[in-house]
Amino acid sequence: MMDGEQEAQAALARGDYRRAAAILMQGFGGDVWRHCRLVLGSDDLADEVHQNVFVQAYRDLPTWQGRAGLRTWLYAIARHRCLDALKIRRRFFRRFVLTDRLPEAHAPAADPVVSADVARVVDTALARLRPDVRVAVVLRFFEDMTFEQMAEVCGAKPAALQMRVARAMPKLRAWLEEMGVRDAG
Amino acid sequence: MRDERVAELMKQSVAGKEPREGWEQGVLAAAIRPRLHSPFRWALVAVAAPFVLFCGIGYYMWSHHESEKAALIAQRQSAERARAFAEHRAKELQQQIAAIEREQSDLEARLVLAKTEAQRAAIQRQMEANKARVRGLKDSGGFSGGAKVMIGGGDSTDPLQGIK
Repeated sequence: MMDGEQEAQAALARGDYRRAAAILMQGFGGDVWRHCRLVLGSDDLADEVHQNVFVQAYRDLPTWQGRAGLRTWLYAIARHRCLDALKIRRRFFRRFVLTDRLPEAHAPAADPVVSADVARVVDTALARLRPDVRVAVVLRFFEDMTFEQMAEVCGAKPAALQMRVARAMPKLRAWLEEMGVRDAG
Repeated sequence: MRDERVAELMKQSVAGKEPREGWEQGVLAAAIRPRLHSPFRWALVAVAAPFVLFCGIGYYMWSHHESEKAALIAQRQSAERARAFAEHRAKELQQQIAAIEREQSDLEARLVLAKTEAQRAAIQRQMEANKARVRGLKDSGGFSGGAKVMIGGGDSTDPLQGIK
């Protein structure tokens, strides 16, 4: 039984790009959307960027070299598109809202967060990280990628990514704790 | 707080969330759309490429023409200066010759009035010397009835070279 990536590679080998794209969309569409959603912190923006990721993937499939796996390749495209979208959004806020900082979504909660607030709290904490650091943290803790896989996605050295994540985590934990998040149990 | 708790929160925050319905059709439609526009792109290239080419050729021709014009103006100015210098020199020579000829007439009058052979011989020597000076001045090239101007190489066969 072949998994999605192998099926897509088999379709690519036959030159059936439309079929390969369909398999990728079916196999990785949800995961890539959730990745974009976490990095961008907005459903609407995630929808737009997610569509752009697969449009670019569809167009670039004929030039896929096979140096990295298709999943890694998709996440690399997603990373670029997410960073572009964040840059555009930041520029928009600078121009029209006259502030360098994205809006702080919500004030720290006094009580421990309940599950309905989790998305809001995580978005707020992640939004305070620098975009490239945010992507690295999401790849590491949401996608459960190794630093070697992350290096293929981000085009950086594994040690550098490890350092980036290690520096970000204490801040992220502190911000989450400020908002009332505690260890389960 | 443990890192596992952070990972769990991230997963919990997007649990059950999915992209909107029918996004696959949107991707396929968007991916195929540029192919429908490709004739317009080719039309744009077909118009823009000759325009750029003609602009390039036009600029080359214009700059070439400008440099030729500048060279011609410089050549004309140089010829004017040379002609003015030659005319001035010719005028000077004519004045010198006229002075010598006046002196010659005086000497002729003195020759008629001379009483001794020695006086006559001295006046005739001076007259001969004056004639030789006039010949020398005429042979020096400055006095030829008009200005001679040569610009550039002397081996050109162009009769108008230097005075265009």
